[in-house]
Amino acid sequence: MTRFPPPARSCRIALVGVPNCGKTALFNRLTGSHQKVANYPGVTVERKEGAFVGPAHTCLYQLVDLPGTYSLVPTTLDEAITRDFVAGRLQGEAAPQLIICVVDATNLRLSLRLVLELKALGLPLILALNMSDLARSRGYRLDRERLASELGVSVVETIAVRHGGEAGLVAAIETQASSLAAAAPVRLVAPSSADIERTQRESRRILDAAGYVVPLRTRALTRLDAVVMNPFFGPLLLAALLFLMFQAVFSWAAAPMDWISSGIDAIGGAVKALLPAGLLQSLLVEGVLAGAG
Amino acid sequence: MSEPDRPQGSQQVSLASLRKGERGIVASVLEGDAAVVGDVEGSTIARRLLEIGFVPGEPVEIVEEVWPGGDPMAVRIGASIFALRRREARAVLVQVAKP
Repeated sequence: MTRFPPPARSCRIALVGVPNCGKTALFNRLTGSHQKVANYPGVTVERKEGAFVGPAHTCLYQLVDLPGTYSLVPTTLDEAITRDFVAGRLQGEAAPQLIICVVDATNLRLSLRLVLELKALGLPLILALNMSDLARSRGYRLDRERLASELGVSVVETIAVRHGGEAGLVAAIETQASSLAAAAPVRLVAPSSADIERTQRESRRILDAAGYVVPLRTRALTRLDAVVMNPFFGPLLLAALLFLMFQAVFSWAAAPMDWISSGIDAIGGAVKALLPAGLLQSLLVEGVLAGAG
Repeated sequence: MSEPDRPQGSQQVSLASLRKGERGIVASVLEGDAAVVGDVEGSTIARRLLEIGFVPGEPVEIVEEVWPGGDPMAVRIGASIFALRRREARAVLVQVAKP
Protein backbone atom coordinates (compact mmCIF):
# COMPACT_ATOMS: atom_id res chain seq x y z
CA MET A 1 0.00 0.00 0.00
CA THR A 2 1.30 3.43 -0.91
CA ARG A 3 1.63 5.86 1.95
CA PHE A 4 0.95 9.48 1.16
CA PRO A 5 2.22 12.36 3.25
CA PRO A 6 -0.62 14.12 5.09
CA PRO A 7 -2.29 16.80 2.95
CA ALA A 8 -1.03 20.32 3.48
CA ARG A 9 -4.46 21.92 3.82
CA SER A 10 -7.57 21.11 5.71
CA CYS A 11 -11.13 22.11 5.00
CA ARG A 12 -14.05 22.26 7.40
CA ILE A 13 -17.39 20.96 6.15
CA ALA A 14 -20.79 20.92 7.83
CA LEU A 15 -23.33 18.23 6.95
CA VAL A 16 -26.88 19.58 7.27
CA GLY A 17 -30.27 18.12 6.42
CA VAL A 18 -33.81 17.46 7.59
CA PRO A 19 -34.32 14.49 9.96
CA ASN A 20 -34.24 11.05 8.30
CA CYS A 21 -32.70 12.14 5.01
CA GLY A 22 -29.81 9.68 5.31
CA LYS A 23 -27.34 12.29 6.48
CA THR A 24 -25.58 10.05 8.97
CA ALA A 25 -25.41 7.15 6.50
CA LEU A 26 -23.70 9.51 4.06
CA PHE A 27 -21.39 10.73 6.84
CA ASN A 28 -20.39 7.12 7.58
CA ARG A 29 -19.90 6.41 3.89
CA LEU A 30 -17.60 9.43 3.50
CA THR A 31 -15.53 9.08 6.65
CA GLY A 32 -15.49 5.31 7.14
CA SER A 33 -14.16 4.49 10.58
CA HIS A 34 -12.33 7.76 11.07
CA GLN A 35 -14.82 9.31 13.45
CA LYS A 36 -14.85 10.98 16.80
CA VAL A 37 -18.05 11.03 18.81
CA ALA A 38 -18.56 13.38 21.75
CA ASN A 39 -21.11 15.82 23.12
CA TYR A 40 -21.35 19.53 22.56
CA PRO A 41 -20.17 21.19 25.76
CA GLY A 42 -22.89 21.41 28.39
CA VAL A 43 -25.68 19.78 26.40
CA THR A 44 -26.59 16.18 25.62
CA VAL A 45 -26.46 16.69 21.89
CA GLU A 46 -24.15 14.30 20.10
CA ARG A 47 -21.31 15.76 18.12
CA LYS A 48 -19.92 13.56 15.36
CA GLU A 49 -16.81 14.56 13.51
CA GLY A 50 -14.91 12.58 10.92
CA ALA A 51 -12.19 13.17 8.39
CA PHE A 52 -11.37 11.92 4.95
CA VAL A 53 -8.97 12.61 2.10
CA GLY A 54 -10.22 12.84 -1.47
CA PRO A 55 -8.63 11.01 -4.41
CA ALA A 56 -6.67 14.15 -5.41
CA HIS A 57 -5.06 14.06 -1.98
CA THR A 58 -4.69 17.80 -1.66
CA CYS A 59 -6.87 18.49 1.33
CA LEU A 60 -7.98 16.85 4.56
CA TYR A 61 -11.75 17.23 4.83
CA GLN A 62 -13.04 17.59 8.37
CA LEU A 63 -16.70 16.73 8.31
CA VAL A 64 -19.15 17.48 11.12
CA ASP A 65 -22.48 15.64 11.10
CA LEU A 66 -25.03 18.09 12.54
CA PRO A 67 -28.39 17.23 14.11
CA GLY A 68 -31.27 17.11 11.62
CA THR A 69 -33.37 20.25 11.30
CA TYR A 70 -36.24 21.59 9.21
CA SER A 71 -35.14 25.15 9.56
CA LEU A 72 -32.58 27.59 10.87
CA VAL A 73 -35.20 28.81 13.33
CA PRO A 74 -34.79 26.16 15.99
CA THR A 75 -37.51 24.59 18.11
CA THR A 76 -35.20 22.20 19.94
CA LEU A 77 -31.74 22.24 21.45
CA ASP A 78 -30.43 20.03 18.63
CA GLU A 79 -31.70 22.41 16.00
CA ALA A 80 -30.19 25.36 17.86
CA ILE A 81 -26.81 23.60 17.74
CA THR A 82 -27.12 23.14 13.98
CA ARG A 83 -28.02 26.80 13.45
CA ASP A 84 -25.21 28.07 15.66
CA PHE A 85 -22.69 25.75 14.07
CA VAL A 86 -23.38 26.74 10.47
CA ALA A 87 -23.37 30.40 11.47
CA GLY A 88 -20.02 29.88 13.18
CA ARG A 89 -21.16 31.21 16.51
CA LEU A 90 -20.94 28.06 18.57
CA GLN A 91 -18.44 28.41 21.42
CA GLY A 92 -15.17 26.62 20.66
CA GLU A 93 -16.13 25.64 17.10
CA ALA A 94 -14.63 27.14 13.99
CA ALA A 95 -17.14 28.17 11.33
CA PRO A 96 -17.58 25.78 8.40
CA GLN A 97 -16.10 26.72 5.02
CA LEU A 98 -18.51 24.59 3.06
CA ILE A 99 -22.01 23.25 3.73
CA ILE A 100 -23.30 20.01 2.31
CA CYS A 101 -27.05 19.94 2.47
CA VAL A 102 -28.37 16.40 2.27
CA VAL A 103 -31.92 15.95 1.01
CA ASP A 104 -34.07 12.88 0.50
CA ALA A 105 -34.72 12.75 -3.25
CA THR A 106 -38.08 11.13 -2.56
CA ASN A 107 -39.18 14.05 -0.39
CA LEU A 108 -37.72 17.18 -1.94
CA ARG A 109 -40.72 19.34 -1.11
CA LEU A 110 -39.94 19.05 2.57
CA SER A 111 -36.27 19.94 2.32
CA LEU A 112 -35.84 22.45 -0.47
CA ARG A 113 -36.92 25.33 1.74
CA LEU A 114 -34.04 24.53 4.10
CA VAL A 115 -31.71 24.56 1.11
CA LEU A 116 -32.85 28.09 0.25
CA GLU A 117 -32.38 29.17 3.85
CA LEU A 118 -28.85 27.74 3.90
CA LYS A 119 -28.05 29.36 0.58
CA ALA A 120 -29.05 32.73 2.00
CA LEU A 121 -26.20 32.37 4.52
CA GLY A 122 -23.83 33.01 1.64
CA LEU A 123 -21.52 30.07 2.37
CA PRO A 124 -20.44 27.70 -0.40
CA LEU A 125 -23.10 25.00 -0.64
CA ILE A 126 -23.41 21.59 -2.26
CA LEU A 127 -26.77 19.85 -2.50
CA ALA A 128 -26.63 16.07 -2.14
CA LEU A 129 -29.69 14.30 -3.56
CA ASN A 130 -29.60 11.25 -1.36
CA MET A 131 -31.52 8.00 -2.01
CA SER A 132 -31.49 8.94 -5.68
CA ASP A 133 -31.56 5.25 -6.67
CA LEU A 134 -34.75 4.74 -4.68
CA ALA A 135 -36.29 7.87 -6.17
CA ARG A 136 -35.55 6.68 -9.69
CA SER A 137 -36.85 3.17 -9.18
CA ARG A 138 -40.05 4.50 -7.61
CA GLY A 139 -40.73 6.72 -10.59
CA TYR A 140 -39.70 10.16 -9.31
CA ARG A 141 -38.50 12.46 -12.04
CA LEU A 142 -36.23 15.48 -11.74
CA ASP A 143 -34.04 17.53 -14.07
CA ARG A 144 -30.93 17.76 -11.91
CA GLU A 145 -29.13 20.31 -14.08
CA ARG A 146 -32.16 22.56 -14.12
CA LEU A 147 -32.43 22.29 -10.35
CA ALA A 148 -28.77 23.26 -10.05
CA SER A 149 -29.17 26.28 -12.31
CA GLU A 150 -32.37 27.43 -10.59
CA LEU A 151 -30.76 27.12 -7.16
CA GLY A 152 -27.37 28.37 -8.21
CA VAL A 153 -25.57 25.61 -6.33
CA SER A 154 -24.01 22.34 -7.45
CA VAL A 155 -26.34 19.38 -7.15
CA VAL A 156 -25.03 15.82 -6.97
CA GLU A 157 -26.73 12.47 -6.62
CA THR A 158 -25.69 10.22 -3.76
CA ILE A 159 -26.58 6.72 -2.61
CA ALA A 160 -25.37 6.59 0.97
CA VAL A 161 -26.11 2.91 1.42
CA ARG A 162 -24.07 1.74 -1.55
CA HIS A 163 -20.33 1.47 -1.91
CA GLY A 164 -19.19 4.22 -4.28
CA GLY A 165 -22.49 6.06 -3.91
CA GLU A 166 -20.59 9.07 -2.57
CA ALA A 167 -18.20 9.45 -5.52
CA GLY A 168 -20.07 12.30 -7.18
CA LEU A 169 -20.21 14.23 -3.93
CA VAL A 170 -16.49 13.77 -3.26
CA ALA A 171 -15.73 15.05 -6.77
CA ALA A 172 -17.92 18.12 -6.17
CA ILE A 173 -16.21 18.77 -2.83
CA GLU A 174 -12.78 18.57 -4.48
CA THR A 175 -13.84 21.00 -7.17
CA GLN A 176 -14.98 23.55 -4.61
CA ALA A 177 -12.20 22.97 -2.09
CA SER A 178 -9.55 24.70 -4.17
CA SER A 179 -11.38 28.01 -3.98
CA LEU A 180 -12.66 28.00 -0.41
CA ALA A 181 -12.21 31.06 1.76
CA ALA A 182 -11.12 30.94 5.39
CA ALA A 183 -13.92 30.25 7.83
CA ALA A 184 -15.73 33.28 9.19
CA PRO A 185 -18.96 33.61 11.18
CA VAL A 186 -21.98 34.74 9.17
CA ARG A 187 -24.80 37.02 10.22
CA LEU A 188 -28.10 35.35 10.87
CA VAL A 189 -31.41 37.07 10.34
CA ALA A 190 -34.40 35.22 11.79
CA PRO A 191 -37.03 34.95 9.04
CA SER A 192 -40.60 36.10 9.66
CA SER A 193 -43.63 33.96 8.82
CA ALA A 194 -43.97 35.92 5.60
CA ASP A 195 -40.37 35.07 4.74
CA ILE A 196 -41.06 31.39 5.35
CA GLU A 197 -44.09 31.50 3.07
CA ARG A 198 -42.03 33.26 0.44
CA THR A 199 -39.26 30.63 0.54
CA GLN A 200 -41.92 27.90 0.39
CA ARG A 201 -43.37 29.47 -2.76
CA GLU A 202 -39.89 29.83 -4.22
CA SER A 203 -39.09 26.18 -3.53
CA ARG A 204 -42.38 25.12 -5.19
CA ARG A 205 -41.52 27.23 -8.21
CA ILE A 206 -38.03 25.72 -8.47
CA LEU A 207 -39.33 22.16 -8.17
CA ASP A 208 -41.94 22.81 -10.86
CA ALA A 209 -39.30 24.35 -13.11
CA ALA A 210 -37.04 21.33 -12.58
CA GLY A 211 -39.93 19.03 -13.49
CA TYR A 212 -40.07 17.26 -10.14
CA VAL A 213 -42.70 14.55 -10.40
CA VAL A 214 -43.81 12.56 -7.38
CA PRO A 215 -45.43 9.23 -8.25
CA LEU A 216 -48.78 8.43 -6.70
CA ARG A 217 -48.68 6.37 -3.55
CA THR A 218 -49.19 2.75 -4.52
CA ARG A 219 -52.55 1.23 -3.77
CA ALA A 220 -50.98 -1.83 -2.13
CA LEU A 221 -49.23 0.36 0.44
CA THR A 222 -52.42 2.26 1.22
CA ARG A 223 -54.33 -0.98 1.68
CA LEU A 224 -51.63 -2.44 3.90
CA ASP A 225 -51.74 0.70 6.04
CA ALA A 226 -55.50 0.41 6.34
CA VAL A 227 -55.15 -3.07 7.85
CA VAL A 228 -52.08 -2.77 10.08
CA MET A 229 -53.06 0.67 11.38
CA ASN A 230 -56.65 -0.36 12.09
CA PRO A 231 -57.46 0.05 15.81
CA PHE A 232 -58.91 -3.46 15.95
CA PHE A 233 -56.90 -5.52 13.44
CA GLY A 234 -53.57 -3.80 14.17
CA PRO A 235 -53.28 -4.98 17.81
CA LEU A 236 -54.69 -8.37 16.77
CA LEU A 237 -51.93 -8.72 14.19
CA LEU A 238 -49.35 -7.70 16.80
CA ALA A 239 -50.69 -10.26 19.28
CA ALA A 240 -50.56 -12.98 16.62
CA LEU A 241 -46.95 -12.10 15.76
CA LEU A 242 -45.91 -12.08 19.43
CA PHE A 243 -47.65 -15.43 19.96
CA LEU A 244 -45.73 -16.87 17.00
CA MET A 245 -42.45 -15.62 18.49
CA PHE A 246 -43.18 -17.18 21.89
CA GLN A 247 -44.13 -20.42 20.17
CA ALA A 248 -40.88 -20.34 18.23
CA VAL A 249 -38.79 -19.79 21.36
CA PHE A 250 -40.52 -22.15 23.77
CA SER A 251 -41.83 -25.10 21.75
CA TRP A 252 -40.46 -25.19 18.22
CA ALA A 253 -36.93 -24.53 19.45
CA ALA A 254 -36.93 -27.84 21.39
CA ALA A 255 -36.10 -29.99 18.33
CA PRO A 256 -33.03 -27.99 17.16
CA MET A 257 -31.87 -27.81 20.80
CA ASP A 258 -31.95 -31.61 20.99
CA TRP A 259 -30.02 -31.89 17.72
CA ILE A 260 -27.34 -29.56 19.04
CA SER A 261 -26.96 -31.36 22.36
CA SER A 262 -26.81 -34.82 20.78
CA GLY A 263 -24.34 -33.51 18.18
CA ILE A 264 -22.09 -32.14 20.91
CA ASP A 265 -22.31 -35.41 22.82
CA ALA A 266 -21.30 -37.31 19.69
CA ILE A 267 -18.28 -35.07 19.12
CA GLY A 268 -17.37 -35.41 22.80
CA GLY A 269 -17.48 -39.21 22.51
CA ALA A 270 -15.28 -39.09 19.42
CA VAL A 271 -12.72 -36.85 21.14
CA LYS A 272 -12.71 -39.16 24.19
CA ALA A 273 -12.00 -42.13 21.97
CA LEU A 274 -9.28 -40.29 20.07
CA LEU A 275 -7.34 -38.67 22.91
CA PRO A 276 -5.75 -40.39 25.92
CA ALA A 277 -7.39 -39.58 29.25
CA GLY A 278 -5.73 -36.57 30.85
CA LEU A 279 -5.75 -32.83 31.15
CA LEU A 280 -6.17 -32.08 27.44
CA GLN A 281 -9.04 -34.54 26.96
CA SER A 282 -10.79 -33.20 30.05
CA LEU A 283 -10.31 -29.60 28.88
CA LEU A 284 -11.75 -30.30 25.43
CA VAL A 285 -14.65 -32.53 26.46
CA GLU A 286 -15.71 -31.05 29.82
CA GLY A 287 -14.64 -27.50 29.11
CA VAL A 288 -14.78 -26.44 25.48
CA LEU A 289 -17.45 -28.81 24.11
CA ALA A 290 -19.66 -28.85 27.19
CA GLY A 291 -19.42 -25.07 27.30
CA ALA A 292 -20.34 -24.68 23.64
CA GLY A 293 -23.26 -27.11 23.87
CA MET B 1 -66.55 37.02 5.88
CA SER B 2 -66.67 38.18 2.30
CA GLU B 3 -63.35 38.03 0.51
CA PRO B 4 -63.95 38.37 -3.22
CA ASP B 5 -61.57 35.57 -4.33
CA ARG B 6 -63.32 32.92 -2.26
CA PRO B 7 -64.91 30.17 -4.37
CA GLN B 8 -68.66 29.76 -4.04
CA GLY B 9 -70.04 27.02 -1.82
CA SER B 10 -67.07 26.70 0.46
CA GLN B 11 -66.19 27.77 3.98
CA GLN B 12 -63.17 28.15 6.19
CA VAL B 13 -62.83 25.93 9.21
CA SER B 14 -60.05 24.96 11.56
CA LEU B 15 -57.98 21.93 10.55
CA ALA B 16 -58.60 20.65 14.09
CA SER B 17 -62.32 20.28 13.35
CA LEU B 18 -61.87 17.89 10.42
CA ARG B 19 -62.48 14.17 10.85
CA LYS B 20 -60.86 11.16 9.26
CA GLY B 21 -61.11 11.14 5.47
CA GLU B 22 -62.00 14.81 5.17
CA ARG B 23 -60.03 17.06 2.85
CA GLY B 24 -59.45 20.75 2.43
CA ILE B 25 -57.14 23.42 1.08
CA VAL B 26 -54.94 25.38 3.46
CA ALA B 27 -56.25 28.95 3.59
CA SER B 28 -53.98 30.47 6.23
CA VAL B 29 -51.82 29.65 9.21
CA LEU B 30 -52.52 31.77 12.25
CA GLU B 31 -49.60 33.23 14.13
CA GLY B 32 -52.12 34.17 16.86
CA ASP B 33 -52.10 32.19 20.10
CA ALA B 34 -48.52 31.21 19.48
CA ALA B 35 -47.59 28.53 21.95
CA VAL B 36 -43.86 27.90 22.17
CA VAL B 37 -42.78 24.62 20.61
CA GLY B 38 -40.02 22.62 22.23
CA ASP B 39 -37.60 24.47 24.42
CA VAL B 40 -36.35 27.32 22.31
CA GLU B 41 -37.75 30.79 22.77
CA GLY B 42 -39.34 32.46 19.77
CA SER B 43 -40.37 29.25 18.04
CA THR B 44 -44.05 28.93 17.32
CA ILE B 45 -46.30 26.20 16.03
CA ALA B 46 -47.38 28.37 13.12
CA ARG B 47 -43.81 28.84 11.98
CA ARG B 48 -42.98 25.15 12.19
CA LEU B 49 -46.18 24.22 10.35
CA LEU B 50 -45.28 26.64 7.59
CA GLU B 51 -41.79 25.19 7.43
CA ILE B 52 -42.98 21.63 7.01
CA GLY B 53 -45.31 22.62 4.19
CA PHE B 54 -48.61 23.94 5.57
CA VAL B 55 -48.69 26.89 3.20
CA PRO B 56 -51.82 28.49 1.71
CA GLY B 57 -53.09 26.65 -1.35
CA GLU B 58 -51.78 23.25 -0.34
CA PRO B 59 -54.30 20.36 -0.18
CA VAL B 60 -54.58 18.50 3.12
CA GLU B 61 -56.32 15.31 4.13
CA ILE B 62 -56.86 13.66 7.49
CA VAL B 63 -55.70 10.10 6.84
CA GLU B 64 -55.94 8.69 10.33
CA GLU B 65 -57.15 9.50 13.82
CA VAL B 66 -55.95 7.82 16.94
CA TRP B 67 -58.70 5.92 18.67
CA PRO B 68 -60.21 6.89 21.10
CA GLY B 69 -60.69 10.63 20.98
CA GLY B 70 -59.22 11.28 17.54
CA ASP B 71 -56.17 13.02 18.97
CA PRO B 72 -53.50 13.05 17.63
CA MET B 73 -54.24 12.66 13.96
CA ALA B 74 -52.27 11.91 10.81
CA VAL B 75 -52.45 14.67 8.22
CA ARG B 76 -51.30 14.27 4.64
CA ILE B 77 -49.86 17.42 3.11
CA GLY B 78 -48.35 17.06 -0.33
CA ALA B 79 -46.52 13.75 -0.33
CA SER B 80 -45.79 13.73 3.40
CA ILE B 81 -47.85 12.58 6.35
CA PHE B 82 -47.42 14.30 9.71
CA ALA B 83 -48.84 13.48 13.11
CA LEU B 84 -50.47 16.56 14.62
CA ARG B 85 -52.22 17.21 17.90
CA ARG B 86 -55.62 18.85 17.53
CA ARG B 87 -54.27 21.69 19.64
CA GLU B 88 -51.53 22.31 17.05
CA ALA B 89 -53.89 21.87 14.12
CA ARG B 90 -55.99 24.77 15.44
CA ALA B 91 -53.41 27.14 13.96
CA VAL B 92 -54.34 26.04 10.42
CA LEU B 93 -57.45 27.34 8.66
CA VAL B 94 -58.64 25.23 5.76
CA GLN B 95 -61.08 25.82 2.96
CA VAL B 96 -63.61 23.00 2.70
CA ALA B 97 -66.55 22.39 0.40
CA LYS B 98 -69.84 23.32 2.06
CA PRO B 99 -71.85 20.25 3.03
